[in-house]
Amino acid sequence: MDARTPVLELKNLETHFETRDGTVRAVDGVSYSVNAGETLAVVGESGCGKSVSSLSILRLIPNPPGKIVGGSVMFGGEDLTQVSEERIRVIRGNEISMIFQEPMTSLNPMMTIGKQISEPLTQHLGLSKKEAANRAQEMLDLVQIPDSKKWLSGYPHEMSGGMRQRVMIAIALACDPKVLIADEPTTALDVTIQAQILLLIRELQKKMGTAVIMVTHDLGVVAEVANRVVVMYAGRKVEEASVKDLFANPQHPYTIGLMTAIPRLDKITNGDGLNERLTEIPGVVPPLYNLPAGCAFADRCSFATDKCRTDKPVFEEKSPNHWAACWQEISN
Amino acid sequence: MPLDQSKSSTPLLEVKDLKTHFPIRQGVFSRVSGHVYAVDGVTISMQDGETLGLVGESGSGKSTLGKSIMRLVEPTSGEIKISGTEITGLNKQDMFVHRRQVQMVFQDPYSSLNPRIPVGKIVAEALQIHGIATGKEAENMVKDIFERVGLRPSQMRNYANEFSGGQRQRIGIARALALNPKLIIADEPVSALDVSVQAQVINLFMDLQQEYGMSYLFIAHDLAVVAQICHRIAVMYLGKIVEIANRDELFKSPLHPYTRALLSSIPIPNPEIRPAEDRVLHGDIPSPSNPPKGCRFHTRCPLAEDRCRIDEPEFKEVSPRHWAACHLI
Repeated sequence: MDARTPVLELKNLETHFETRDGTVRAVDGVSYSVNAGETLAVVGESGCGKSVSSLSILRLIPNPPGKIVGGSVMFGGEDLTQVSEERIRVIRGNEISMIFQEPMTSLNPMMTIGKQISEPLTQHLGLSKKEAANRAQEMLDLVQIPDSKKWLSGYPHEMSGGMRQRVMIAIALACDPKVLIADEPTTALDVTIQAQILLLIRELQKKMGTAVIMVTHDLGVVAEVANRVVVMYAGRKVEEASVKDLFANPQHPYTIGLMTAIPRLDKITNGDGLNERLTEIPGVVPPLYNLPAGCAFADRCSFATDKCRTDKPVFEEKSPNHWAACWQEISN
Repeated sequence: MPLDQSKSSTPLLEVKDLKTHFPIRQGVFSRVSGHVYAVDGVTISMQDGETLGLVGESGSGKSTLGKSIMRLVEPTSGEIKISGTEITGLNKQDMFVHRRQVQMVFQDPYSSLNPRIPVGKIVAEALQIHGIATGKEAENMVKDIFERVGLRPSQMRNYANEFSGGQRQRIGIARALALNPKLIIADEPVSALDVSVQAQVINLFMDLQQEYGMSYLFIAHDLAVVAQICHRIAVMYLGKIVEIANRDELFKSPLHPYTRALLSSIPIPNPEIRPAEDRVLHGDIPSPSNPPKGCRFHTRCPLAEDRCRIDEPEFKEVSPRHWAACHLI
C-alpha cells in the first residue's frame, strides 16, 4: 500500500486562530496522507488539532478567527489551500466529502431526506431531477435504510440518530468521492448503533474503494477500523504507525499513556482481571496559545528530561514505518 | 475491591416495582395523549459500600431511575427505601433531611455549577443549607474537601469557568461529598471527559469509596468504565432491568441476549481482535412511549420466538445473585 501515490496528502499544515489570549496554534505543522481504499485514523483528545486538521482540508475553517497560514494539502496535483473558492466548492461533497459527529445539526431540518441527497447530484454531477431522485433512493438502500421510498419524502426529525448518520453517509457517498473524512461519526451514538455504522462504513469503503480519514478520540474505534494511525497532541503529530505496530509497540509516552488510561474490558473476559487503578496521565493539555519551548507533553511525561523541556523533539523513524516525536528511547 | 456480601442487614437502598411515567401532552388544551414509560417496574437493592453500575442505551430510562431515587422527578408508583425509610410519601421537609444521605453528581460539569458563585461557596452552600456548618467552620471544611478531591484550597475563590472539565467534575464531587452521604448517584460522571482525565476521575471515585465507604449508583453507557469501578452491574432496556449480576459474572457469562449484544458491540482496543460480522444488533431501541408487547427486546433479538412476542418474561434468579429476564434461559 505504501508504494502507491496517496490520494490526499497534508504537508506541514499550519492552521492558527487569533484569540484574545494570543495565537492558538491548533495545527502546528502536521503532515499525513491517505491512500485509496485505506483508512487512516487521526486520534487524540479535545484540542489536539485532529478536527481542525481535517476541516482545513476542505477549507472549512471560519476565517476570521482561523486561518491556514502554512503548508499544503495536495489532492490530484492541486494544492487545496491555494485553489480558488469556486474550485474548492466543486471538490467539496463531490471528490472529498465529510461526515460529522452530530447528524441532526448537519442535516437541514426543513428539507426532505430525498432532496438533501439529490441536491449534490444535480449540482455536482448535473443529473436531472428524476435521475437524482432514483439515485437518492439507491443510496438509501445502500446505507440500509428500510422503506427507502417512503423516507425520500421524510424529514430528519422523524429519524433516530443512527438513521440520520446513515443519511449523512448516503449524502457523503452519493457522488462517489475519492476521500471520505469522518469526524467522530459515532461519538453521539449508542454502542449498538455505533457498531452498525462502523460496519456500514467498512462495507461501503470496500465496495467503492474510498480513502477514509477517521478522526476519533476512541482507541477502540481506531483498533477496529484503521489501517494506519496518526496520534496528535497539542497541534502536532507525535506518532504514526500501522495500527498493529501502534498497539503492539507504542513509541510515544503519550500514546502509551492513552492506552493504559482506558479501562480494558477484554482483561475481564480473558481472565486477566482488572487493575485496581487506572494509570493516570497527570495534569492537563497546555494552552495552545502558550506552548512550551520543548516537547508539549514534557510536563505530563514520566520519561521527560531537561532536553525535552528545551528542545522540540524531531519526528523520526524509530523502526521501519513507525515514526514518533520523542527524545527518549522507549522500550515496552 | 473488598466488599463483604455476607452482611445483609437492612439494605442501604431498596427499590420495589418503581414506575416513573411522563405524560405526553398535545394540542391547545394540553390533553394527555399518551405516556413515556421511562422507568417501568424496576426492583433493585444495594448494600452499604457497594457500587452498582446501571448501564443501557439512551432511552433505556437509566437516568430517570437515578433522578427518581433522588425524587428530582416524582415516581408514578412503587417503593423507594433508604436505610429502611420509605421516601416516596415524604413531604418536602422530611425529604430535605433524606437528601443529605443521597447526593448526585451530574454528567455535564459545565451546566451543573452556578457560573456566578465562587466554587468554594458552591460547596459551602451545601453545608449551610443542611445546617452542618457556617462561616469560618464551613470554609475550613470546604478546604479539606477540596484537598481531598485534588483541588488547591486557593482555588475556592475562582469561578467555574476558570476550571477544566476534569476539575469541574472534581468540584461536583466535592459538593456531593460535603454532606458525607451514604449513597452518591453519579449520572454519566466521566462521559464528557477526555480519556486521560477520565482515568483521574475514575480513580478519585474509587479512592473516596475506600476512604469513606459510601455506595455509588454509577450510571453510564460505557461498559468498560462501569467494569472498572462497579461490584455489580444492572443492564436496563426500555424502562426495565433485563439482567443483574456481579461484575465478573456478567462479563464472563452474560445471559440476556441484549447484554450479549451490548458487550459484543464495544470496540476492543486491540487490532488483533477484529469484530465478528454477526455481532451487529439490527434496528434502533423502540420508543419508550410505545414499548413492544411481550419481551421488550423481541424486536431486535436474534433469538426471539413466538412466546417472546406475547408473554413478558419473568425476572428470575438463574444462578445465585445472577438475575435475568428472558424466556430462553
